[in-house]
Amino acid sequence: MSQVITAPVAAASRRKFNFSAFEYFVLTLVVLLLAIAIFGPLFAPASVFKSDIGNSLMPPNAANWLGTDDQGRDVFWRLIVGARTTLLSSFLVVTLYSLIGVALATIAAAGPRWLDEALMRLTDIGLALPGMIVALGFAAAMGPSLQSAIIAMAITGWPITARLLRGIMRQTIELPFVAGAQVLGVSKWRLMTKHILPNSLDVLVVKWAGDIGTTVLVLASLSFIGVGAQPPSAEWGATIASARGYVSSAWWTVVAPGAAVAITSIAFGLLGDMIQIRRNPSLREN
Amino acid sequence: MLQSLSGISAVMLRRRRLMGAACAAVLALGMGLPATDTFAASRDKTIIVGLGGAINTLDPLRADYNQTNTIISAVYDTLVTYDEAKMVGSLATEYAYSADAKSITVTLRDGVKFHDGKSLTAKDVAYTLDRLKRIGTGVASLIDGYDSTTVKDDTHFTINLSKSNTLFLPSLSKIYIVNSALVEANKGADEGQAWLQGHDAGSGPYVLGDQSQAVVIDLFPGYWAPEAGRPESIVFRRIDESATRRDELLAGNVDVAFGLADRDAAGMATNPAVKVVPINTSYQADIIFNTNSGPTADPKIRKALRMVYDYAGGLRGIRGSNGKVANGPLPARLDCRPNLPPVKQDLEAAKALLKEAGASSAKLKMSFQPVFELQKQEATLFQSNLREIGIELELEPIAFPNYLASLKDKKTIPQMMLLEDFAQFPDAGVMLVKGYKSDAIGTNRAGYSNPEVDKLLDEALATGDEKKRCDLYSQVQTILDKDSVMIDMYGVYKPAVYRVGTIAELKASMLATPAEPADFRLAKK
Amino acid sequence: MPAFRAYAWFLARRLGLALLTLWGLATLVFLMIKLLPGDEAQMAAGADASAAQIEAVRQRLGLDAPVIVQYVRFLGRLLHGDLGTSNVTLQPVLADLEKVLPSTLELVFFAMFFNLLIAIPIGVIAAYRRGGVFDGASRIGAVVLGGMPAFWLALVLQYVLGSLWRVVPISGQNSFGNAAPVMSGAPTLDALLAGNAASFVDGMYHVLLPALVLAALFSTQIFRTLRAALLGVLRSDFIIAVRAKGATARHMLVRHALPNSLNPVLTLAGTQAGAMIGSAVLVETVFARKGIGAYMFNGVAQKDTFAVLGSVMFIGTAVCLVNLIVDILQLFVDPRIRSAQFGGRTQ
Repeated sequence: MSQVITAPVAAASRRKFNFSAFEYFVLTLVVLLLAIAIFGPLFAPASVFKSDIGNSLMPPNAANWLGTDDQGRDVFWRLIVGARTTLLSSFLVVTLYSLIGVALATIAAAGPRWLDEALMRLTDIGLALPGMIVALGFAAAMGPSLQSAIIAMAITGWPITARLLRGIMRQTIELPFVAGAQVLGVSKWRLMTKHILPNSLDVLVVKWAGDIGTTVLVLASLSFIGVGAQPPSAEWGATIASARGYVSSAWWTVVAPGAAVAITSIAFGLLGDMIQIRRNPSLREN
Repeated sequence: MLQSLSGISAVMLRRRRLMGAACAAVLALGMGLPATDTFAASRDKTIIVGLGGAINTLDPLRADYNQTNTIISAVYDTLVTYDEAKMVGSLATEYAYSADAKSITVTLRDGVKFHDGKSLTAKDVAYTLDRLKRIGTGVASLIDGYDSTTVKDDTHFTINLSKSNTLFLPSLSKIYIVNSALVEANKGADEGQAWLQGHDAGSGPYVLGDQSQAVVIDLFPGYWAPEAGRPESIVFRRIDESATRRDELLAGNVDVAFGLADRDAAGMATNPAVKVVPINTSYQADIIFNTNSGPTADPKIRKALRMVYDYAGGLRGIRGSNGKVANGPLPARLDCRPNLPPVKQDLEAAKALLKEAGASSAKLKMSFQPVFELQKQEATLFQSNLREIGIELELEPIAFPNYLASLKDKKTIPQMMLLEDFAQFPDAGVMLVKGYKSDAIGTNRAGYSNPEVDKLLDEALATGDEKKRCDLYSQVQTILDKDSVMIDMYGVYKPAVYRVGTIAELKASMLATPAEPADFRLAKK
Repeated sequence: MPAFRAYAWFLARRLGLALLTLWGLATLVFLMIKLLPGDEAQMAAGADASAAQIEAVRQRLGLDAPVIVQYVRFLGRLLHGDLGTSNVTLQPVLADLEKVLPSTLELVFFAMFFNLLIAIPIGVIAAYRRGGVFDGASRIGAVVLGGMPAFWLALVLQYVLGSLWRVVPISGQNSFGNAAPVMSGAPTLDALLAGNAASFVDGMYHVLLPALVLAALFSTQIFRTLRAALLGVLRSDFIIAVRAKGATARHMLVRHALPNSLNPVLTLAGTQAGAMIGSAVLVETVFARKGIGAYMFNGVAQKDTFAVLGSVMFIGTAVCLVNLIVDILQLFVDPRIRSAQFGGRTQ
């Protein structure tokens, strides 16, 4: 995917605040999800972690808006509580590996050629391992837990970010104004932090937003197969795993968390697209 | 949608059409063709069993793994077996203890042949027992005290024990006799364990067949006790999800489904095409304490925890009422049980007792096997019950082989372990001696050590008098109950379901739960 | 020929890179083994091995030697194909994996097939009819499908299509009586090798839904990439020239526009192949299929640590190889790549 580099001068023109209806919709959705993740659990009744076997697998009704699960817990409120685990963990993972990626990319772009080559080979190794496999490996080594899943995802996430940013930074360094600045005596460090890095951060933000979406999916997948969040965590993937046997008899226990994952993933993916289009209107057709 | 075609495109289109036609033809041909029989047996003489859990090995050494035991019970023979709760001879026609219960004289049946044609003789029995002793794991724990076998001739031998052990003879119902020549020839560096993982060295009614996708066993024509109506082939398909097992059963891809979740079975109760059989054998759901180290070493805490679990709720909501609340450390179907009152949930009393023990806000840990959905639900229920009285319970998943390994050291035994306990064979003694005798390292699940219990059990092991043994066992159980070695939850009747018209009936088995495949008889002759 | 020298040099570089990656992977796995808590010999010997057996394993693995020596020996063992021994099956891990790899490859092959089969035509039509109903609908579809968790989709479709409507099989890889003799381990391939049409069709039915589910997520990416690339190509001059010559839309699209847009698509497909192998575990566990993913998953559940780590090494190697093959194929397919590879700096 080619990235068009806007020179830093054009930064100011990006600030337009008239959003289309669709953009409003996406923004609202994302803000809503974040609000639910942060504040939602504060409103949850204590019964979210309490088993009420007699009331299990009840279809959606007035008391339980999305029905109850196999332990008699309210599905709706478990979704709200689970949002915190899912979203916050995803944020943590993406931020972690983005930071690692940025750091390594900066070193690679600014440093000597051999360092660049070495770091790129490191990313090659990182790219050879599918995330799911590494997560399974860590689960075997450390025991299955949310922590091992987060570590595994952070470790497999940075190569792509590092590659991307290094590419952008290198291209930026090629631009004439950089050479000009160097001639003027601007130190490399100042160049990196004041000019090159901020320019690349645009791309990073786009990727960061889109990655939240995919990370939510991956985390849910890992929890589903049992190497992520463990019971009685309300993490959405773990919830789907426990509801697995009830697809036919109590569909709401499976459909609700699945829809939650899908909506969150789609919302953040669209957010990433939106930011990208705003940054570069020529991509609008995509 | 697309415009009319020019000359060039027509060629491409024709090519495409041809491809499409070819595909359709293959499909039609494939669907029209009868299923080619790669198996000797036809579908209506085959029974397909759906069961959950990994089938790790088919080595008789590991008859302590349920899935392994279910399959090898039909591929191998034992010296003695059980008819309901009564012991009868199988390969052995006569057997008797010596006066001091330190040796057993056995007469072997004549004319038994292994699947490869060789005769089964006393040498094979000796080899089997010696191999178990050498390896020391798996069912070797059942032949505690085994010393050697003296072979008199092909059909007569004496088993010598280093100490009196009246459990030895019943234990032989789980010791499958292997073809010594075959195993010896393939023993490699690990006494044949790698070879026996997927090969057959038995003499039973079925021969091990194809194992590429499911484990198939085929009828052995030269079996010494042939019965009419046996399926020609039994296929064991591993399907972990109960819901998937149920769906495959309803679709006709599976004939018998073992171990269905109670909810799934309940949904089929009114379906005339299937028959639900609650298997009442010796399964009891328990939470076993580590009585030696950790917070659960305090008997007061144990007694308090016994009053926390929602027995009635769990039995009704998780097990679909397929079972009965427990009253004692041993499953209800066994003999020699005292009449103990069941424990009820009493959160107030539990809280008070915990306060007395100074553990009002303790943090506890419980291990469980997440591969069993119902146990996962029970663990979650117990966790929720404990939260109501302010105790935090951390759930730790564990795999069965790792649990077994943890039993070797009292300090590594889990604080609490949720499992479905069952008797390897229907003798009360085996559960007590293996489970609670202080020298039974590796099978003593509670790290339990009580000299009084040891004395009573030693006496029982040396007593030939059955009634006296029974009484001693009862006394032991009373002590264990008083000591709160476990939270005995409920006996569970695991539902097994079969399609009407495939097998005639499903007989519950105390030896290979839920049923022995060798007992299957086809519904239509 | 100077071109040949350039090719050879590129190939050598690429191979060297692959080897370097493999070495890095092996080192990572070695680190993971060393970081395991507990006694390594005990873990390798098995959960209930006796003290004597543990000692024997310690000797065999040379765990008393200094770490560097162990590392070298570890690499040596890897070169001989010794990925360790599974505690559960008691067989060498490599042997276990070889038995189940063809099954995963079968799944991934059909997933990639459906992936391209569905995404490419839809992408072409959407690009050609930009702004129309089809375009809008397919883009929305791609967004929605791309956000759905694959395992959730698998569960729901398995129930609806398999149990409820009985359109496809529920689980497994063959129906009773339809299995061909095992030669490779992939049911459809075995059926072909045995010339058994019924078995082949049966195997196809069983892999249909799993492959479609696995392909779903990846097809949205192919769709997007192809559409974007095609839109760019459709605006270019030579397309206008082709149309001016009187070619039909179909001819123009299939013979001219598509081949020129396939480059990024093929690159993406190559990367996806590796990711599919990784995601196969989800699909294999839901549909009860044999495969590397299911093997690894079992290993984790039963704490068969060395089987899991051996699998990590194996799969990493497989993905590395796939990437290498894709890179080489690209070289031959697209001349522009050659110049980019040989002259350019940024990848």
